[in-house]
Amino acid sequence: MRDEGELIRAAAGGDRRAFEELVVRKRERVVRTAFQITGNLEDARDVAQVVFSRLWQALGRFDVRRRFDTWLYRITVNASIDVLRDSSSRLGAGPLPEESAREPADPSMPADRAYLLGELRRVFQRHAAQLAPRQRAAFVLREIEGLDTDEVARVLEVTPSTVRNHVLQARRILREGIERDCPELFSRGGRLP
Amino acid sequence: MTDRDRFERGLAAWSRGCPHCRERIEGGEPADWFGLLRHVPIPEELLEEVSAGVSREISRSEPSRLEAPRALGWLPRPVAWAAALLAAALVSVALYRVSGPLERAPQPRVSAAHAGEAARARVEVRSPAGVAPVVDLTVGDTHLVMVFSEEIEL
Repeated sequence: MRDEGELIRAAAGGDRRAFEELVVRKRERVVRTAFQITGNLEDARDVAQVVFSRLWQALGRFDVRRRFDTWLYRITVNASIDVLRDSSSRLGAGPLPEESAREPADPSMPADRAYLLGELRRVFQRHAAQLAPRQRAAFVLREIEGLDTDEVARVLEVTPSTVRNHVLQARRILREGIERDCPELFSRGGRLP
Repeated sequence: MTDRDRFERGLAAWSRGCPHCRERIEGGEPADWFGLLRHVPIPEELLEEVSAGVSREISRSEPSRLEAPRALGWLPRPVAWAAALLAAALVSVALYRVSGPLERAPQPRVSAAHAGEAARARVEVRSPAGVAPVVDLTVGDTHLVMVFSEEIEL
């Protein structure tokens, strides 16, 4: 199995097989990030295809000293925000549709976990629709993807304090939405029974 | 079992299987729970669709990205540069030969009338009184002097 740096260099030199292997390694992360931002699996798949096609075109100019994942996340976030804006303009200013045509599913996942994830996803989609696209992207990268604040700042090309502001605002909006709409699910204030 | 029961059972299940999740769940902040969305399963078939779509796109766009820059790809880079420079030099020489030097020395324009003047001889006869006549003839760069005197014997 080839080292990731080696794969990136080979792909940058035009090695198509290396690039396709890179796609296999990175596609789940790209689709998941796009899915959290757009709220729709089909849109996430389309975003991922756009992202990797752009990557293939631009990889020859990639400076290998830079962090590849940062670059990949940046392209993903920008493409997802484009889709989000297109969807908003198509649907008006209302919330995003909660149900996508295809649902995330893993038959091997225990039923109680799958149920919890399904509920969390629906609640998140409902309330994240109130966030500005870059607030939403900052929250997804920081709180869901688990990137540190400096890394999110590099992805979004803003300062770390801007990222902290975006995340704080997003958390406040999400908490208020949860408390208002789902008191039965979150009545314990986050404490496990 | 109510929705709330199932939800809490789900939280407890995540909490048992994942220390990081437990930390988030027990942190007291509901917004932290969304961190669990990192575990949302993405269907394998959808991931395969991504790869297939990307491969199609690459095949479609390959000529623009690869073929043009790689026309000399089989040559080592310095040799490719030398070949490119040689080709440029040959093209320059060919153009020079076809169209002549870019800058020529300015040539005097000679009209037909001036051409006639240039070919005409300038004749000057100097013959002061008591002196043999001399014909001074200049044609182009040739200067001919003729002296008519009965006293001269050749």
